[in-house]
Amino acid sequence: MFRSLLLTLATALLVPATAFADPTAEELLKKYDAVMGPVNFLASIEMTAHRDDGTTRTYKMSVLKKGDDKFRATFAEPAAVRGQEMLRQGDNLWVYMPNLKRAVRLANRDSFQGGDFNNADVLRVNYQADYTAKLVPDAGRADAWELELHAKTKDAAYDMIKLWMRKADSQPIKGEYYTASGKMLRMADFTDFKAYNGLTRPGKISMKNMLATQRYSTMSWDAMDTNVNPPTGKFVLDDLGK
Amino acid sequence: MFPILRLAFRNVLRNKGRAGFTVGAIGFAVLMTLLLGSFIVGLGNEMIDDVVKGKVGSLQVHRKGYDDVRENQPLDLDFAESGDVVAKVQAVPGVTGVSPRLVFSGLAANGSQSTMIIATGFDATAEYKVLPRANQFLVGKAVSGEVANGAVFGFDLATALELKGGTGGTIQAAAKSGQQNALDFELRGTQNNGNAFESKRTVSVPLKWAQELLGMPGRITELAVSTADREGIEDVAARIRTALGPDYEVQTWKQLRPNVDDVVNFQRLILGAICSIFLVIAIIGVINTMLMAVLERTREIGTMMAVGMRRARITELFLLEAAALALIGTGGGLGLSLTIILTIASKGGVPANAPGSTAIYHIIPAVPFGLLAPTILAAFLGTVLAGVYPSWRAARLNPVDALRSL
Repeated sequence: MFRSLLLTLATALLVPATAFADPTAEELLKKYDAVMGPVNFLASIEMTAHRDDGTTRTYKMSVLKKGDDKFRATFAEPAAVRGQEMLRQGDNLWVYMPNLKRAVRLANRDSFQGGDFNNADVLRVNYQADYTAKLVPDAGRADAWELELHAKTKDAAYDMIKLWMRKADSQPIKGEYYTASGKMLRMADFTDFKAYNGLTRPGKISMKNMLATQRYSTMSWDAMDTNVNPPTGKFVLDDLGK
Repeated sequence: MFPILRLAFRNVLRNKGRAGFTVGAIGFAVLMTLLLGSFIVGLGNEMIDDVVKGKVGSLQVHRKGYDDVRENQPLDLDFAESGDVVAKVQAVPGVTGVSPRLVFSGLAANGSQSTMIIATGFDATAEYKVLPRANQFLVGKAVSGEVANGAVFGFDLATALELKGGTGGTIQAAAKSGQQNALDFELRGTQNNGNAFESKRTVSVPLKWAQELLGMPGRITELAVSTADREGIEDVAARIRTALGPDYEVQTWKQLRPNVDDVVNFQRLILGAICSIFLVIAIIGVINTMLMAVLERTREIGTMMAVGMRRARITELFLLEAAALALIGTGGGLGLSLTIILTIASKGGVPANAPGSTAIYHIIPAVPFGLLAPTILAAFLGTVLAGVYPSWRAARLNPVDALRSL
């Protein structure tokens, strides 16, 4: 009788403890991927690149994603890149030039339209596939978890990423991106949290180039619809330009 | 011993003024041809030396297919820094030095700004043996083994990034695996060779530093090779091709910098055209002089024929007179031009700009056999040939008509 009472009491105490336990690094990474790169989506995105010489250039595009590894971005502005498209299929990436009517292969590490995001930052949001994560015990701030991500393969865009995710809702708030030599290459601030058809996520990322601090780029999500299921035929080279 | 030869010389000297002008014209043509030619050859030598001894070496070795994608500075067509390939190249007769290099593209940043660069990593000792003139336009210090991250920037590039000697920044590049990496550098010096592209884009760094940046320890993408002499480069290239087999490509400086070869060849073409004009003008002068001599000496020719001199001897006499003019004119021009050329060469040449460059080169005039022999031959034979028509006219004269003429 006493033993069963003790067991009941222990269980009652244990359940809430488990319910409020810190999430694991893997769970946080899964959350990041779910928020930043939902399985399917159609988004309207605006990117402004601020260059060393003080000039800026704004790009408007729509991005379509299907599954883990199919992306297609279509540029509407500025006029110089109107009709240009970028396609990702697995590890392959192409840019379609409408004036040439042909696609040219790109690398993940290449700068996205000359800004401070690289192609992988925009078109390859799948950290679970590319990185192993661990929680840093002392995050340096009380309101967030700090994750340290290390590249699983040499194909990953960065050697190491430090990612801070808000404890309240597990939303990403800050990222630092490092090279193999340990230098911080870029730093991102995730802000303007909004709900897009039920998905709450950062509406804006400011990516600062830490090697050339006069350079930075911002990317804003004007709209995002995760209730889409685009046909696979939209993600083939032959469909670009159509 | 040769009375007709003595007679020819005496005839030439009969009208000293006219002979003087003719000899002067021939001498001037020879002088101008050799002077102009020696400077154009000197300029060409300087341009070729600048490339061969200062930039690319006599020839370069890459993995097969590198040249097709050279503009992208590919890292996947690499090979071992100290393996079979290097040993085989070093063993080829005629090779005097081999410099392993790692060529890559990236971004150089000063902390606030960044710009695109093309960088070459090399081992200083090997590089300066292959390229003894690599630092001829260097301001400051060279890339060396002393400072592991010491870099030399093109002058315009360093200016754009507001970098000065001793200051530093970061070079960022995609490693061979594709990941971005970045390392700090210290600016040691700047190069200003007058080539706008090189001044704005190129960076030299130590090989080990480049290998660390790119995650390629012990790997290189290029061998710059020096040879014993410039003339034998094609033969050495052929021997290296045989030694390395089909997996590697060997290119001489002419293939690596075809524009330099084109400019040098074009200069020599123009030189040939200008010299031809000088010689043609001189030869026309000789024809004129000889025709005047035939006209003035018609009665004399008639007298010589009347006393039994054969037509062939008349022809011979006038040809010998032309040859005498040629000999004196060519000899005088040759002597004067060689004196001037050797004096200028002994004083270290003349400073000048190479075409398309703002850098100062010292042009040392040179008279190779390929310039000297054709000039002498053309001046001498041209002058003698100029005497053919007048001497033929003289020999065709009717003795009676010739004696009657005034």
